[in-house]
Amino acid sequence: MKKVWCLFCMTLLCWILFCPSVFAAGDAQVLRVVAPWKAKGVNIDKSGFIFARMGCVEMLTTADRSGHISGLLAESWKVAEDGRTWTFILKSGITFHDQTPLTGEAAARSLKVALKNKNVLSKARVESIRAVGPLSLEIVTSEPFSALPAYLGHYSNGIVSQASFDENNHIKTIYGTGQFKLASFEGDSLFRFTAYPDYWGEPSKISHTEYHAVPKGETRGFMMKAGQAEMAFTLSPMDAQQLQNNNEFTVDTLSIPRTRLIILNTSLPFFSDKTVRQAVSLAIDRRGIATALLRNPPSAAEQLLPPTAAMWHDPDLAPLTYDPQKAAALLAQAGWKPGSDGILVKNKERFSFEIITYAARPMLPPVATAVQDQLKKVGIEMKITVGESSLIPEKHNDGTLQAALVARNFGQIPDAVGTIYGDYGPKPGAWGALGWQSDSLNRVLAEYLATFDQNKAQALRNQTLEILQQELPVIPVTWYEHIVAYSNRLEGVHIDPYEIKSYVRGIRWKK
Amino acid sequence: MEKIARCIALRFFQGLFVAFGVSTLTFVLLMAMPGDLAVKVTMARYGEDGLSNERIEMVRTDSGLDRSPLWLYGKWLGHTLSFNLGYSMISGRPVRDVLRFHMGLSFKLAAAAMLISLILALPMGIISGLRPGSRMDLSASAFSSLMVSMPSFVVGAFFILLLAIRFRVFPAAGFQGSAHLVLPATTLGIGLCAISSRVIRTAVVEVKNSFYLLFARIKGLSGIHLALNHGIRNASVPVITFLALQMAHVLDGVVVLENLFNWPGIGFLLLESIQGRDIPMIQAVSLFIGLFYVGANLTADLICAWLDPRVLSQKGDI
Repeated sequence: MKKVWCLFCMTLLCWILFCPSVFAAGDAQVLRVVAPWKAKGVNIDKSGFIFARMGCVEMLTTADRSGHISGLLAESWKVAEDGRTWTFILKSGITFHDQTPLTGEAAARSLKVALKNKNVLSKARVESIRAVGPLSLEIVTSEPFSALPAYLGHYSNGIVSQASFDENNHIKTIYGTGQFKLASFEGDSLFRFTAYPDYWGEPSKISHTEYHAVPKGETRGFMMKAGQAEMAFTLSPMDAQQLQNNNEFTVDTLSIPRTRLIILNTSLPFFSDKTVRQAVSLAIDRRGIATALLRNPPSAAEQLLPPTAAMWHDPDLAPLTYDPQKAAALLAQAGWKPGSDGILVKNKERFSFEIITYAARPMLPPVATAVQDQLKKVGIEMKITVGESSLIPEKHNDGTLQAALVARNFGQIPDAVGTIYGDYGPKPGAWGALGWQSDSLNRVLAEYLATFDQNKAQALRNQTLEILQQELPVIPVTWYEHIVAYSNRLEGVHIDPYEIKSYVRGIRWKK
Repeated sequence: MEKIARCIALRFFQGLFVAFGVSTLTFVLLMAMPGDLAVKVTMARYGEDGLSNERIEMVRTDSGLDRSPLWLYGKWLGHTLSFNLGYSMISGRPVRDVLRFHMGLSFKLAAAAMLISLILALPMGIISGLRPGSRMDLSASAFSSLMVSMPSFVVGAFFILLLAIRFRVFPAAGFQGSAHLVLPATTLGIGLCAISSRVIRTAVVEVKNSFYLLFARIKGLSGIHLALNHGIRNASVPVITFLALQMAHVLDGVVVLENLFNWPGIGFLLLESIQGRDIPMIQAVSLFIGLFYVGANLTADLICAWLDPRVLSQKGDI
C-alpha cells in the first residue's frame, strides 16, 4: 500500500513540475482583457461600456486624449442659426456586423431608444431625433446646447443595426460597427469578439479578443501573473507594484477625470460657512495621502479635475494647498474654539460629523481614515461609516447626508460640463452639491452651454473651475488613477483617460 | 414500498411549503430592510456613474416599486404559480436563464469538490476508523484540524500561487473549461474532506465496535462479506446524511471561493442580487436553495432507508 501511495505522489509531483502549461497557456492569438465591470445583460444602456471599450460598438463622436470632440461615425455636423437644430452627416460605406449599411434611420433609432431609457441625452435637452437623409440625421434640442456632440460620445449612445432590436425596441443582440464583432458570451462575465473583416477604418491587427469580468482585484492580478490575461484594468497600487517588478508586464498609471472628493452638506451649520469649508480643505494633506496610500504623488487633487482633462484643468488656478495653521486660524475666525476634549465647539455645538463612504472602490475607506486623522489635528471630529454606495444618493435625496467621500466620474461625457452641470448646476443630482447653490455658477454654466465660440467657452470653463475652487461645495482630495497592466507581448497600447475608446485599437502582437 | 411512496409525496408537499416559506420570508425581510429600493436597483442596473434622479423614478415605475409590497408579492406569486420566475430587475433577462447559467456552474463545482473530497476522505476516514490512535489516524486528525482552521481563501491563494502562477499547470481563475474547475474544486474538496473524513472515521469506529459486527465475526463471516454486508452498509447511514447536507451547503455557501476563482456560481449570484436588491432573482435563488435542501435530504433519507430498512420501521416514516 505504501509503495502505491509513494508511486502516486511521485507521479503527481513529476507531472506538476515537468508538464508544460497545457491548461493555462490558452490560445496565444486571443487578446484577453480582465476588468472589474460585469455586464448587465447584452444591451447598450447598461453594458454599452464593455462593447464600446472592446471595439464592438461605436458612437457618432469620440474624444481625443485632451477631451476635444471629433467625429467617429459622424463625418461632420452643423448647427442651425437657432442653435437648437443639429444635422449630423454620417460617414459613408460603413456596415454593421450584420452587413447592413449604417444609415441615418439606423442611427436615429439607436439614439431614440437611448433617449427613451433616460440616458445622458435626456439631460442634453433633446426634443426630437429623426433621419433626414440616407446618411444624415437631425437632432433638435429645446434650447441651444453646444455640448451635444460631447454627449453623443457617451457609450449609451452606441449605434447598432436595426436587427439588434426586437419589436419592443429591446436589444436582442449586438450588431455594431466596430473593429470587433460579438462572437459569443457566457453569462454576464465573458464576452468573445472576432475581428470584423469589413471594418470601415484601419483593420485590427488582433484577430480575437475576450473580455473577462473579474470583480476581485487580486484575482485580476493572479490572472495576469498566470499568463491568463494580456491586459488588466483597475489594479490596486499593491498589485500594480508586484506586476511592475515582473519583466513580463508594463504597468501604466494614468490620472483620469474621476476625482475622490468630499461632498459636504452645506445646509449644516458646520459647512454653511465658506471659510469653514476652506479650512477643512486646508487641513487635508492631499500629497501625503497620494504618496503614502496611493503611491502616486501626482494624484493629489489641487483642483477639481486632473491635467488629463485638459479642457477642464486650469494650470493657472491657485492650487488647493495643505496648511493646517491657516486652517486653524480660519476656524478660529469663524468662531470655532477648542473644547475640553480638543474638538472645536461653537454655540455649544461640537464640530463633529459623519462621513459615508463605500468599499466598492477599495481605496476610499483608507483615504477617509487618513482625512479623519488630518482633520482631528485641527479639532474636527469625523466619524466614518462604510456602507453600500447606494446609501449616499439615498441620504443625499432625503437631505440626511452630512458628508460623503465618493469617486466622481467627470469623464463619462468627454466634456466635463455634463457632470459639472448635473452636480453643481441649478438642480444638483444625487452625487452633487448638497444645499449649495451659486447664481454666478449657474449663469456661467448656462452661458457655456449656449455658446459656440471656443475661446469664450474656455474662459467660461476657467470661471467655473474658479468658482468651485473658491466656494468648495465639494472638496477634491485625490484624482483617480487608472492602473493598467499589459503584457510585453503587446505593442501600440494607448490608454484612453476617458475610457470611451476601444482598448484594442492600434494594439498588435510583438513579433 | 407503499410507505416510501407516501413518504415521497409527503416530502414533496413539505418541500413546497419550505420553499414557499423561505421565499416569503425573504421577501418580507427584503421589504423590511432600510433604504430606497429604487435607488439600489438603479445603482445596480446603471452603475454609480449612470445614476440620476430621472432614472431612479423610471426604475421605480418600471419595476413596480411605486406600488405596495403586497402587489409586488402577489405579482411574484402569480408568476411562480405559473412556473414563470419573472425578469431580473437589474439586467432585464429572464430569471430562469440567469439561474440556469449560475446553477450549472455551481453544480459542476459542487460535484467536482464532493468527488475530490470523497476520494480523499473515504480512505482517510476508513483507515483512521479501523486503526484509531494509529499514526495514520493522528496524521489525518492533524490534517483535518489544520484544514478546518485555515480559511478557504488562504488555501485557494496558495494553490493559485503554486499551481497557476509558479508552475502554470492550471488556470488561476475563470469558468470556461474543465481545467478551470481544478483549483476551486480542489480547494473546496480539501476543506470538505477535512470534516467528512472525521464523520466517516466516527461511523467506522462505531460500526467496528458494534455487537452485530462482533456477532457476525463469531459466526465466521469472511472479511469482504463482513465489510460489504455489515460494515460499509451500516457506517454509510450517518455519512450519507452528512454528505447530503454538505452538498447543499456547497451549492450556496462558497461565495468567497467563487469570488477568488471568479467562478460565478449561485453564491456569487445571490450576493450580487442582494446588493442590487434584485427581488425576483433573490426570491428565485432562495426558492431554488430551499427546494434543493429538501431534495437533498429526501434523497439521503431514501438511500438510508434502502441501506438500512430499520430506519423506516423505527420512525414509521423516513
